[in-house]
Amino acid sequence: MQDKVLNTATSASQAVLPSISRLATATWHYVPGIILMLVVGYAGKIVASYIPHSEYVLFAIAIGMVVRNAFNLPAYFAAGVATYDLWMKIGIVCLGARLALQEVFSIGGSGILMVVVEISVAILTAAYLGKIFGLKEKLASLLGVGIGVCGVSAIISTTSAIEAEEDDATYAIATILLFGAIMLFVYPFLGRLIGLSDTAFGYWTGLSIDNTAEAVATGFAFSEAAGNIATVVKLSRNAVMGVVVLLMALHYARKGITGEVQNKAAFLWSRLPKFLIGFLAFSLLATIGFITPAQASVLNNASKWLFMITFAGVGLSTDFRRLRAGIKPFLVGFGVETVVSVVTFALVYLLIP
Amino acid sequence: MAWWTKISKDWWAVIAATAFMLVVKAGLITKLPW
Repeated sequence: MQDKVLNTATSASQAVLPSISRLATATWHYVPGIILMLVVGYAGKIVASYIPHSEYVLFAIAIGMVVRNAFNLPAYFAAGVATYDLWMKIGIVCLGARLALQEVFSIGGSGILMVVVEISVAILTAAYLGKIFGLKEKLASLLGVGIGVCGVSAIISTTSAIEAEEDDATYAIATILLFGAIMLFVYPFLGRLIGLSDTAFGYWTGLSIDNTAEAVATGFAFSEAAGNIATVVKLSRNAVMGVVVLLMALHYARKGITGEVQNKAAFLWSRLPKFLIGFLAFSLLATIGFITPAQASVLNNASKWLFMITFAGVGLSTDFRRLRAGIKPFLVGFGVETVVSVVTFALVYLLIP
Repeated sequence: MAWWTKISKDWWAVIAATAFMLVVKAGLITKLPW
């Protein structure tokens, strides 16, 4: 009897222990990069505290960019730095507790019309400029969807949906990240120059900066209120990603270039960013009072710490050497980005007080 | 593939944020300086 008990216990521990040790080994792999992001982000926060009227966001990203591009960053930092979007998503879910549900729906609702215009402009401009510069149609589609919807994740899911080439996806992603990295510094300057309100700046940023981390960062670089609005507007773009990718897949399927889409509902669900559900749930919990205002402010500060890590990661992931890889996709990408930026600015200027 | 890779990054983000929220809800963290 005792033997039997002992055996069961041993076999259970044999199953659990290797799993835990594998998890520990896997985690260890991420530690250097995560520590680097913490150090760079905190350095940005310290520098900003010495400079009046400055936001830590830009310093965290700028220091990250310098570290990445001025030094040859050892490869063992890469895995940890690549986790920056996980911290961003946790931060965005926590930020949900700060925003009342009715506020989220009113910002998202008034933004959705502008989102439709913005996405159409991006896809059409990319197709047009792509033709002029002689880009492959699929690369132009990737640029259009990436710039129209939400940067990296839209490009990745479109790549598989229209069976585009990996290299094209890499180009399109690099273009968007670099544009966002440059606009991080240009947008707040332009916003102050023109005298935009927090609301208008938040809408403009959320509509025209494509990578979610960069859009959130640009919003917060202007002000906290602008950051909150930019986040919600950007999330409403992310939410429609599935629909746009599906339409793109159907377009290529109709031309007989790719296979048919079998189950449209499953296709849409698989492309819905799930952290949006967490964001809305936290907003709902705060609205009904399950999360009290004092608890919401703890969660809000947690999101600031998480964004600090994220923004350092964005800087550390920005590799200017990628520009040498090929100039044509960048020209088309920057052309489309500029058109989208001007059109969304006009929309915001006309519609948002 | 290890089991934790079968759950997407997005769901891990929701799980982590929920765990943190429950810790705050339980009163274990009452203020967090920024």
